[in-house]
Amino acid sequence: MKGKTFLISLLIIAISWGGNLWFYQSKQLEEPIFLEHYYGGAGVFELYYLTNREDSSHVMSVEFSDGTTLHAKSDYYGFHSESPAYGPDVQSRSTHYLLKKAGFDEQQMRELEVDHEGEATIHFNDGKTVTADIGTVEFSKLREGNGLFRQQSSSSSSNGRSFRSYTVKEDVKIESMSSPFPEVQDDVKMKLYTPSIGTTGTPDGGGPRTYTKEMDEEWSRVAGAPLEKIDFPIEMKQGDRIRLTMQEKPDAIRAYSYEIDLTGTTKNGTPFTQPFLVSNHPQFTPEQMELLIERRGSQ
Amino acid sequence: MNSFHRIFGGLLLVLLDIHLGQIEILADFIGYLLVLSALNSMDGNWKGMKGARATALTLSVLTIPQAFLGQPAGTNEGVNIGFDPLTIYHQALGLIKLVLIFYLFYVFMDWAKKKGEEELERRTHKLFRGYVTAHLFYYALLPFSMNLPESTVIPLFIVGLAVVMILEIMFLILIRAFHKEQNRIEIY
Repeated sequence: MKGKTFLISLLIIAISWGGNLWFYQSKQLEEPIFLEHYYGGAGVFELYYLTNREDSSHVMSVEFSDGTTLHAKSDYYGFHSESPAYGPDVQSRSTHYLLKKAGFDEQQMRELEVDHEGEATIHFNDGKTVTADIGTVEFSKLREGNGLFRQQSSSSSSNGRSFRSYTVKEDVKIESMSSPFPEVQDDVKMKLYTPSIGTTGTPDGGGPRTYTKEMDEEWSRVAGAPLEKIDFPIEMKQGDRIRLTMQEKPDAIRAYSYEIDLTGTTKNGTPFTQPFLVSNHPQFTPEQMELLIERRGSQ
Repeated sequence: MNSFHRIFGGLLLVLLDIHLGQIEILADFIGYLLVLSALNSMDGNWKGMKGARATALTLSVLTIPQAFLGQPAGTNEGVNIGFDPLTIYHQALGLIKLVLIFYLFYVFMDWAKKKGEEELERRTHKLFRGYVTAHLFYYALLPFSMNLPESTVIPLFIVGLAVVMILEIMFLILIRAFHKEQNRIEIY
């Protein structure tokens, strides 16, 4: 190898370093990007946000729009890792970013009666403060069970499909269904199945095998009818099954955890409300992270 | 101790990293000083000698801070290759070391040629091409690890590191061969 070739090679190496460093810099976020949340008081409130991969900070507390402040549950107690990418709060990682979450106690939210919409002020453990739209966060009152529905099974799969099913203990008539966040249905397709609703898809043969199969079944073949096409009231006999199947769209980048309410009456006329939990625990692919930056970055 | 022996010792010191907390004992700059003293004791007319001396001097100055700065965070983790200033400093030193080795190869080849050691010259030339090409590829591809997914980077990085390490050892073995040759020549 001649000196000249060697020199040119060194030049190429310098260009490679410069170019890669430049590209890396161009990918860095100025501040964390928060997902849009739809939290209706069901389960732990999880705040999701995207940070740079090298960013080791985590959320300490959030000031909501109604003036209440909540401290995050600490996942970091007694935990130490040199690399931020392998912290306990990391949900997903890509070459440049991390999707992290912070959990907040629902009991505490109930006590403070948190009712938030839009911009919140988020404090990080490294002293950084970010103001960002985090969506809607509401507490909910603790409800008493009605004793009419028995949890049969529930399952969720990594392809964004999940379902919950119950059996009813007496004859009931379901008169309506309401969701606190109808807009989330842009992101999630839902189908409700009872023996009296249509017979498309898998017949309710019972047994766990049907459910496993249902998780991979084509959406059009999943049992039941889309929520918007259901004619109320729905009559159900004792021992009948009711199942809500949900399918998240691949470009869904919102975080939600809330309950859909089924209201109806029993045979002897007593009214009841039965909640169906609708929640996701976002885990993003690198493509979804890019989508999030595109939609919510530099607002 | 003849000059090849000192070059061997110096480069071995550079290759070995023994840390006592932050501070590196057997620091790299001592290794480069050893190489520099060996080069100064040799005939200055060998091809590549001027460049080798200048680079060895540059390195022995530039590596002084390294002894006290500790290893970049990435090396402790094993998996992550960070791109903080410390890592870039380390990589830049590696690159200058490559320049030094480049000149050393020229010195060695010229030495072997002048002493009529054809076999040794051929062997040196072969390793020269392999060593320099592999290292150039390694340094050109390394920065892509910033922007490529982990699953691609880690296997490549492990292979790259293994190849580079093998070549370093082969080079040290070659210097030993030169050392033996010189001893043999001196005896006769």
